[in-house]
Amino acid sequence: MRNVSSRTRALLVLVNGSPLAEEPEIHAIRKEIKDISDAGLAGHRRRTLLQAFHTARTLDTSLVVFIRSKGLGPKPRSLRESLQRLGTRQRRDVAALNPGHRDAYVNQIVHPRNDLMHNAGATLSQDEANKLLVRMEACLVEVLRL
Amino acid sequence: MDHLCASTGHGALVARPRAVVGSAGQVGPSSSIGGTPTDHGARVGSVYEGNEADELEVRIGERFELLRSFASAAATLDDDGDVAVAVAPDHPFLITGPDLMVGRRGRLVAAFLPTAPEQAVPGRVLDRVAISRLALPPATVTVLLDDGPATVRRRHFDAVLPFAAIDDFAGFCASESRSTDVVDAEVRQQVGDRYSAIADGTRDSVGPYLQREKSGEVDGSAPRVPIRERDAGPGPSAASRSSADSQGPRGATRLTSQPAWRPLVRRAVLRCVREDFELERGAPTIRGAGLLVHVLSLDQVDTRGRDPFKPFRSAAFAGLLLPSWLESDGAL
Repeated sequence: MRNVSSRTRALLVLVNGSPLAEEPEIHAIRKEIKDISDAGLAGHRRRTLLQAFHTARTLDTSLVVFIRSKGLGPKPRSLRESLQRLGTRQRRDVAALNPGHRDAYVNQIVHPRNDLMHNAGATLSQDEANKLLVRMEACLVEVLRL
Repeated sequence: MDHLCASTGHGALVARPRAVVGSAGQVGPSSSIGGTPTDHGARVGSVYEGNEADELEVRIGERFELLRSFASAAATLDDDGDVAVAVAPDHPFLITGPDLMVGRRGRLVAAFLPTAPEQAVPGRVLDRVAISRLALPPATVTVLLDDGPATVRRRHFDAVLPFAAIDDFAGFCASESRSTDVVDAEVRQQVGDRYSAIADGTRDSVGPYLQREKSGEVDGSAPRVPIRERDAGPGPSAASRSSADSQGPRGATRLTSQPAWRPLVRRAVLRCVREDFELERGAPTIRGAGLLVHVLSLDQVDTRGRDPFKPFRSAAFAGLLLPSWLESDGAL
């Protein structure tokens, strides 16, 4: 797997070394992460859209699988619901997202992602795209350490 | 803890990194390794031959080659795309972390190769281990790559391997053994809560941490070593900085005009970790009664690159507030 950014590679290692790797969805998650890198080959507009798309799917699925593998309740129906669930301490051996930080993730990830995905013609500047991508990456990594 | 010590005792070790690097030709087609050399130091490695210590200087490139050799060996385990390897992994919360990570079938191995400054002070590498264990999944397995003589720090690792033990490293990565020293969930929760407070970046969020110290709820009176320019490592001349002119809430020295902020932040992060945590057989526990917020004031923090706020984020994760963060747009 060449031409993969060091951040993307780190994400791949982390999901491979997490409980997600023992769930059937791991193959799809790994494929999404690799597609984040492949999206870097596209032109600017498509690159930002594709990177946001694949990163969002990686985050969505990873959080759902994490919640299931830790026994944190039924399958969430949305990223917002996943974050809400992870922001509530349910088990002594699993930490929770701090509620303030959970809300920040909702504002900084869910809202801009929905705007981007559900509005025809919506696009992001490189700066906006970078912020969205790194927030999604940070969110995934923070959940994996809970 | 399941310790695997491949060392046969330093008297028997004859491990020259150059020779080790040369043995890495057994790399499969799927074993490309990414990452860049770490900037932890220009020299690394004390190599022992017989009973006589013969310190060998290894430049950054050779250090990276050594890590690549271990990484390549681990990558050869890949039979179904289920092994991922990263040298100098770019973790969003770690401005300094493991030198090598291997993820395979739900088991994460983080390997540490002590830098020259870490080797100079026994146990110093444990600061890096502690912050890494707090940021990584709680059951992460740790490996120390070291040719030095046995020291007390080795009990904090699941395995200790000399430079020549590349095959042993691959075997260790292939094993199914799990670390029994999982980082306690309460510690993880407190670290996450403090990170959230600092990342929020408001007086309201950080205030309670400062108030706890004022009220004596936690002991903030212990003598603290201020973070001074000597902690910044290579950087600008002393003349480019002001002297320590004020104290932060926890004794962090206020510095100004600091263009080489990255090594300073890295050192400050490790100093904070050293003050806040101690390791119990590899798992960080909180010193004293609770976590506090440290402050390091920098005039200039350049925010370039794809993840420009990583310095703020990684500092916040370690409990270090960079006030210049408050002037940014809250992008943590």
